[in-house]
Amino acid sequence: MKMNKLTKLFKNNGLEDNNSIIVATKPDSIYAESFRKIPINLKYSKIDDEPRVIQITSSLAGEHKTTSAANIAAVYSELGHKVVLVDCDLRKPRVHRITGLVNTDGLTNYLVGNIDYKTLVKPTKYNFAVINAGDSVPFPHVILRSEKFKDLIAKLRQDYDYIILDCPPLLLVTDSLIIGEICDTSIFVINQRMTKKSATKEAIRLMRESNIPIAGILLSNTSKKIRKYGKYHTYKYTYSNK
Amino acid sequence: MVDIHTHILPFVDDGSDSFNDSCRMIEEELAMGVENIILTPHVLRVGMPRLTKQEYLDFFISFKTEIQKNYKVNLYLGQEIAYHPQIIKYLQDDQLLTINNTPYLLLELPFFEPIKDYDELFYSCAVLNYKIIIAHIERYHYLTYSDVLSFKKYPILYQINSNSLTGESGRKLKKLSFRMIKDGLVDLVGSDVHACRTNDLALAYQTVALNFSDDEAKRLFIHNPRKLFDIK
Repeated sequence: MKMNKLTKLFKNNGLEDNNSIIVATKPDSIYAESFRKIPINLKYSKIDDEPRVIQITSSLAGEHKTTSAANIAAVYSELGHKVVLVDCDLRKPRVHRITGLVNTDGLTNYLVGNIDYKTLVKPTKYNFAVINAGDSVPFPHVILRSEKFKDLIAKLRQDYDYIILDCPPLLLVTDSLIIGEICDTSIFVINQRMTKKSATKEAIRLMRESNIPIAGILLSNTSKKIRKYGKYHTYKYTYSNK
Repeated sequence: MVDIHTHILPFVDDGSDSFNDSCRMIEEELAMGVENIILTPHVLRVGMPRLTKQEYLDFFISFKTEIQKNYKVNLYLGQEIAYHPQIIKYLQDDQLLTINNTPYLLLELPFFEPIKDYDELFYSCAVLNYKIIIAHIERYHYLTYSDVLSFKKYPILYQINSNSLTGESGRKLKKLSFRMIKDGLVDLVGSDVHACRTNDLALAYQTVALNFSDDEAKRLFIHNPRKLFDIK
């Protein structure tokens, strides 16, 4: 097998995650438009006390949590707010891959006391700040239960308008339930073509038992049937110059 | 010819323990027609001395001036960087040396067990604008051939050792290196010479020229290193 055949075999080059923030890269797309509804819906979910610390979680891995979290952060920053996206998935971190950063000097390094707050928060080209996960640690749930993590979120509340927490899946690890105690609300992501009903039910039951407020459900990877509903294609082409 | 992987720089790793040994190795290289040598001492390897980047540079400059008094040879500095869990942090802090100040770094994977996340390693290096050359790719017994093929989806290069090509390291490695060259996976060949090992780069060149083609041998031993590492 010669190299030219090989390059055809592997289309991606290992950096393919860089185009996942559709709100920034393709602002006119239907996909981006559907993310723009989320801040409005969240605002009206609690009118008196608008949620500012938002947890993004799902039942299983691969349901597009990180992509959704990054796009929501991009939508808030588009509206002129100060936003920070925190990678709370300390086991399989992905936020740095989406934002084109390197996973050093992250949350775990800060919580075990290796780095200070200034080096922790990193700017990105997408106008929102990012805290990446950092080096892997043996017991992530212990670190997430610490007072220092709570203090960090309190400090971020002072410095930023919105804090988006990208969390690990609920049915696989307990981390999301621990993080749920300190967030204002949570968005539950369901991959429409992958997740089973039973898994979703079980995950939502776990969240209700732990008294974690759920603002709503975000459907990812939707089937064509749902996408065509309401003829959004026509809507886009009628109202856009491009 | 260019030898891109040598342990000739004395006193910094297990390559050479005396200046005389290093001189003998350089004489051997010159006798084979190698006039450009890249010195790649081990770093981050367990049991090797931990020196700073500046110390390596100082050692290199004094060694080079000493050698060039007696021999007509061009020396360049690089490092053979062993995989370390903190390697990305070291690269980010600019603590490691690339080959002749180009973006290319010679990376040695662990010999006994695979690392956890290759994807993350290759991604991080690409973000930091480093280009990886995996040293002696044929020698990691845990890597299957499909692993070697699949890594090529990342922008990385492969180097194989000359003693694998000549059959010095056994028939299995010879067969494997031939298969890799046949599939167009190999980009560079180096001798990986230590004072205790024989240098058979010239024999490896002849082996490639004989079994494949002259052009292929020239590409692997002369043109690729000159192009990649900015050697005139």
